[in-house]
Formats: sequence, structure tokens, C-alpha cells
Amino acid sequence: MFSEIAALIVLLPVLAFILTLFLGKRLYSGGALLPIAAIAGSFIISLGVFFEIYPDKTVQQSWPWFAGMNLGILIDPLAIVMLLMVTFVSLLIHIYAVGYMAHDPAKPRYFAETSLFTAAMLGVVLSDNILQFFIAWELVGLCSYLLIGFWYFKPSAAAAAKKAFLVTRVGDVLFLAGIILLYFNISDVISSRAFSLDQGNFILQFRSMFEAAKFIDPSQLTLITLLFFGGAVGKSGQFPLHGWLPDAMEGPTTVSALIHAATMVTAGVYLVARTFPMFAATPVTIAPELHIPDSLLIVAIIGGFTALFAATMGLVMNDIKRVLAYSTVSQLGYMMLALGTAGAIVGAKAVGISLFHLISHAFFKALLFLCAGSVIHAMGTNDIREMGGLSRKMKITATTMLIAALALAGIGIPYLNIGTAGFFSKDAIIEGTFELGMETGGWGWIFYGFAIVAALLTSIYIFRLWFMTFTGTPRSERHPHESPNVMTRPLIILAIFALLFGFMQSGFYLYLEKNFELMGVEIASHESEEALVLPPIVVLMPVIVGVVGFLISYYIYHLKKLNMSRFVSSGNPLYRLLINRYYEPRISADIIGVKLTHNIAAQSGEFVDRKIIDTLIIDNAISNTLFRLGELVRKLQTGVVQNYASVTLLGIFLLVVLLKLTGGI
Amino acid sequence: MLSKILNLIIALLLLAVLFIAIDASIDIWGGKEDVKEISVERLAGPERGGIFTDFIFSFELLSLLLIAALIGALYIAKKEGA
Amino acid sequence: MSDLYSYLLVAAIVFTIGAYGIITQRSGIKILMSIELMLNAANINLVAFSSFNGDTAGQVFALFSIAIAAAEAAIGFAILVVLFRVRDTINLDNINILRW
Repeated sequence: MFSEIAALIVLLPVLAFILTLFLGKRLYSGGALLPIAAIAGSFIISLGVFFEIYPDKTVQQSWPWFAGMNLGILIDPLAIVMLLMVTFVSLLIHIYAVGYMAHDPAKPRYFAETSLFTAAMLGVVLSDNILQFFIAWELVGLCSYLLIGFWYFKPSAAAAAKKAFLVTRVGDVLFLAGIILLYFNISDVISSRAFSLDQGNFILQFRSMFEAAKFIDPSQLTLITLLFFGGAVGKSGQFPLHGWLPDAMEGPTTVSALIHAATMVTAGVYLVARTFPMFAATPVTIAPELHIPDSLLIVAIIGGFTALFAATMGLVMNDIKRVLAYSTVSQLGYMMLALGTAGAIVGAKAVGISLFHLISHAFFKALLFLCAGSVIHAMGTNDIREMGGLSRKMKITATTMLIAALALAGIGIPYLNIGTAGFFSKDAIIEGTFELGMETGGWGWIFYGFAIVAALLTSIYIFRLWFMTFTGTPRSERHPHESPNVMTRPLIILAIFALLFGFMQSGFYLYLEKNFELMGVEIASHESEEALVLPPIVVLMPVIVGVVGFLISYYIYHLKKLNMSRFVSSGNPLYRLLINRYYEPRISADIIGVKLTHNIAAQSGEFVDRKIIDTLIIDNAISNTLFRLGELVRKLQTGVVQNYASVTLLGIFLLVVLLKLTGGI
Repeated sequence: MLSKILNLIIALLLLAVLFIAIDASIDIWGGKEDVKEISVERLAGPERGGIFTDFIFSFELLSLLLIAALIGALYIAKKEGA
Repeated sequence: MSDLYSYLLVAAIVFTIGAYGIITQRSGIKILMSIELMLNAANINLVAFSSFNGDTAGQVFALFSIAIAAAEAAIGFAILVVLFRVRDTINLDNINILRW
């Protein structure tokens, strides 16, 4: 019975949004209860649907809309795990926000906007055709803009919100171009009768897309999937559209936890996972010796590069939230890397591997952000250079953040398969890249290199963060106190999941492997005949790298054995490069934004208009005549209504005369 | 602002237009000489074609319009402060 | 007055008188009265056709038209009242702010 009310999963938060928007001020606790109740309802319905469709059913409902498009719901294994994660994490963060935003006068607006955001994200996950997916995707981007610029009176927040919206817009335009191209290609395929829609199916539904993909011209398919990936690059902050994510930390920390750790940025990965059969069907032309389909190769390259690129910047940031932002970008790169590399080897299982990391990342990254929020709430500052020794006063926050840091670094015991969630998920991705390297050799090893070096840097920066914040002697005079229960209970729940979620790995993979078969789509898999036995050093390497990173940070930041001031100074060009974020903000804002667009385009247009067109024919003759003509015609408008009435009647007469003359009447 | 003569001419031109219209359509309605009585029962009674049977929707909408006009006129012409 | 033509003629003449009133008169109230005249001319037309066709639709239309004319006159007068409050005159020749 839950499957029939599946549409309520999206509609309940929408209802909460409308009610909170209009009635929020008058409700108890600033309108927080309505969204919490709505999202809890969505979570319960999602659980119900999960128990109904496990292990091999799906929920598909659709209603015709216009011009061959439809509105619909598709809940298959991929969607249901995302639904459960989104509703659960959103619920915990809402509960936390009751405490975090307790003193903010604009609380109703906050809860209304996060409620709308949750509804939009659930709409993205549930949609069964790509047009509806895009509409919900845009709505998610809008809510992100509203929430980043929540404190709109701060100029930096307003600028960050604008930048986030514009940069993701670039991605969205690419995504829309991909949809349009796809629509035309499928229409061509249908009209040439190579393929026809089944009864009751609509164009642009995922089912139809995957079946039609077999008949589309391969180079067009590559273009379409790369355009889709362009949208994912914007939304998930991959290179080169990554600049908005660190700036987006201007919003409240709970917004950062909800949007930029667990849900919105994962929409990009979800898009690639959803349309995975199309990505896997692209031809292998760019790198034939690697046997990777073209689009998946691009996905893997950009994902792997971003993972490394962002991890390098996370090493030097001094704002607690910026470090976590770069960590998010880096981990999203891991998810894209998994889709690309594992997709070439094991086919549909890649979706399982990437999604598993997505969900475990959601848990521990949201936990990290919420702990950071707890610290910021207590200390009033984001700068970790002013913190220290907080573990004595804030025990729960320190412990849960340590658990999250261990999960992020992927610490665990390999052969006994005990460890944090990050251990299971990241190890699977790194092992996948190793398998790709083994099977292809040569350039194929670059992905493994990206993954391992990024893992090392991840471990270093996260433990640097933890040590500088929680250990040592306090560097500021403020007396912090532990956060209230409404904030620490969600931390504990998330920490439990970050610890234990890893043990669901094999069940998860089995469940998601069949995802596309349930829709009737097959994905080729190039897995070798016998299971690849990895040498022990490879299995141990991720854990070794994690522990080495921990030890390095312990040595430098806890025991303070190494004097970092030689490295962390403006004299060091490498440090300058990293702290200025590879000069990306300057490039996009000043050079592209101001100089290219405004100075060149606007000023050249003005020059042509004033000097060239206006001075045509003896010194402004054209413009002067037009001006004088306008002055004359202007006198017609006297402003007296009777004149207008008389002219109207005169006009009717003239009209009738004209009609009579031309033989109309 | 236009003089009275000009206005008169325009009005007479309008009359001419109406005459032309009546004459041009004379073959459509021409020859109807006898007036058929239309009683009030046909308009407001239970027969088809009345305002309470066929045109009930327009009737209700009209009442809505009248309420809107009432409220609008009241609000516009309200004295301030009182 | 037993043929349709006479009724239509009367309606046309009344309509013209109303139109002449609109474009000539200065006072706002007289203009509103002229508008009512025009509306009633149209009503005469409607009822005439309805009678000669034996169909009630025209008269129903005329009924609605009367009601709507009443609503519109009410609003028109409300606007005139406010105009007088602001400008101390209802001489519409001088209300010409929306000009060039």
C-alpha cells in the first residue's frame, strides 16, 4: 500500500514548504515542526516502499503531460537507496538545525526553504523521465541559491549565492542541450522505424531512452552523454566548474551539511548513474587500448583529476568549512572515478560501487559538517588557527568527529573486513582502479595513481583538521561548551551509521547489480573469467596510506615536531598557489567575468552604436530625423480620454470604408 | 479638444457605419415581420434556455462579478481614516 | 413598429447619441451616462433579435449585460469620487497627466 502513495514522498515536503512559508512565524519553534513531520513522513513511506519492492520489484507510475512527455515516478533499487538516504539525512539535519538556528530571527524562512529543497531533491530521485529530472534539478539549484544566500545582508554571502547559481547554470545549459539533442535523435530513430515506443511509454522516459540508445548514431550518443556529464560537472563541483562549492560555505553550516555534502551535489553522480547504460554504450574510440567507452573515460579522467586537485587545496585551508568543502569535491571525484573505471570492467556493478560510496560519504560528510557546526556554534569562529584543545569540553563532538574522520580516511582492517563505512566504500573504488590498471596497463595506471595519492592527502588534511581543532592547548580565550542534546543526538546517530554502514556492502552490491536488468537493459561487462586475486600489498595499500596520513598529521600538528612556518608562508610559491586556490576565483571573476564579458562585449557594442551607426550620413542625419519625427508623433497623445474615443470611432469608420472598397463586406 | 463640429461629424460617420452594417446584413434577418411573444416564464422558469437552467453557470459567475464590483467600489471610494 | 428594421434603427440612433456624448462632454458623470446609453442600445438590439427569432438566448444575454453595466457604472462612479477628492474637479479635459 505504500507504493500507491509514493507520490506523497515528494508532496509532503512541498506542503510543509507552503505552510511554513505563510504560517511559520506563528507556529511553535518558528515553524520547524512541520518540515520535520513532513520529512519523517516521507522517510516512513520510503521505508514502506522499500520493504514492498525488495528484492526485485519496482514502482512505476506515469501520467501523460503534454506533447508526448509525461510525469511519472520510477522507484527501482537505485532510486530507493537514494530516497532512504536523502530522507533520513535530511531528517537528522533538520532536527539538528532546530538547535543550530535557534537564535536566528529568520528561522521560518530557513525551514521553508530546506523543506522545498528536500522536496526538489526527492523529485530528482523519483522522476522517471529526464525532462522531469531536469525540472527538479533546476529547482534544487534554485533552493541552493536561496539557502547559500540565506544571510543575504552579508555581501559575501550574496556574491557566493550568485556565483553558485551562475556556475551551476553553465552545467544546466549543457544538460538541457543534451536533453534536446537526445529528443531529436530519438525522434529520428522512431520516424525511421528502427525503433518504436511500446504502448504506454513516453519519449524521454528512462526505459525508452535506454532502448533507443542502441539505435542512435554512436558519435551523437557520445555527445549527448558528455553534455549530460557537463550538467553533472556543474552540479557536483567537478573541475572546471568547482569554484562555487568552497564559496558556498557562506551559508549556515546545516545548509552546507544538507546541500553540499549529502544531497544536492550527489545529484550529479545520480544523473550519471541513472543514465549509465547510455554512458556504457558509447563507442571506444579515444583510447582503444584501455577498452573504456568514451564517455566513461572522460568521466573517470575528470573525476580522478578533481579528486587529486581538490585534495591538494584542502591541505592548506584554515577555515574549518573550506577544508570540508574541498573534501566533498574530492570525494565526489572519487564517485565519478568509480563510475568511469569500474564501469569499464564490471559493468552494472559500478553503479553499486559508486552509490555505496555516495551514501557512506553522505553519512560521514554530513556528520563532519554538523560537528563543524557544533564547534562553530561554541567558538563563534570558523578559523581553526584559533581553536585547540576542545576535546576536553566537547567530548561528544570530538568523538563523533573522530569517527567521521576515520571513515573519511578509510581506516579499517582489510582481511578481517572490519572497519568504518569509508573503509569499505573507498577501498572498493581504489581496488577498481587497480583492476583497470592491471587489465590495461600503461595509461590505465593513472587512475590508480589519482586515487591513491588523493587518499593520502585526504587522510593528512582531515587529521590535520581534527588535531588542530580538538587537541593541544587552547589558542583562544573563549570557553566552549558542549552543544545541546537536540544537536548532539543526530551526531551520535550519524556516527553509528558511519561506523556500521560498511557491513551492508555485499547486500548492497547484489541489490543494485540488478537495477538495470529490472528495466530490461543489459550492460556489457568485461570482467575476467576468474576472480582477480589482488596481491596483499594492493589490498593493504589504502589502509596503509590512511594510517601514514594519520601519523604525518599526528607528528606535525599534535606533537608539533616539525616547524611548518617555513612551508606555510607567503614566500613559498607552492603554498601561494594552493591558498589562492590555483587562482581560480580571480580567473573566473575578474578575467572571464569582468574583462572578457563586460569590457570587451559591452564596450565594443557601445562603440559601434555611438560612433559608427549614429554618425551615418552627414553627422547624425538619420538619428536627428528620427528624433524629430518622434517629437511630432508624440503630440498625438494628449492624455484626454475623449480624444482617444473620437479617434477610435473615426478609425472604425475608416476600417469599414476600407473593407467596403476591397470587397470584404 | 477637438471642436464640436468635428465631433458631430465623427458621430454621424459612426451612424453611417451602423446603417451600412444593418443594410449589409439584411438578407440574414430580413423578412422577420412578426414578433413572437417571449414570456418571463421562458426566461426564469424551469424550461430549457432560461437563466436558471442552461445559463446557470454564467448566472453564478455574474453574481461573483457583482460581489467583486461591490467590494472594489467600496474599497476605492472609502474615506481615509474614518 | 412591427418590423425588425425599426428596432435596429432605433438602437443605432441611440448608440450614436451615446457615442456623441462620450466624445463631446466634459463632465465625468455625463460621460458615464453616455456609456450607459450605448450599453442600452446594444441591449435593445439583443432583445429585438431575440423576440424575432423566438429564442430566449438574446434576452438572457441582455439580462446579464444590464447587470454588468450596473457593476461597471458603480466602479466608474467610485473612481470619479476619488478623482474629485484628489483633483477637486471632474472636468475630464484637465485630467491629462498620461500625455506625451
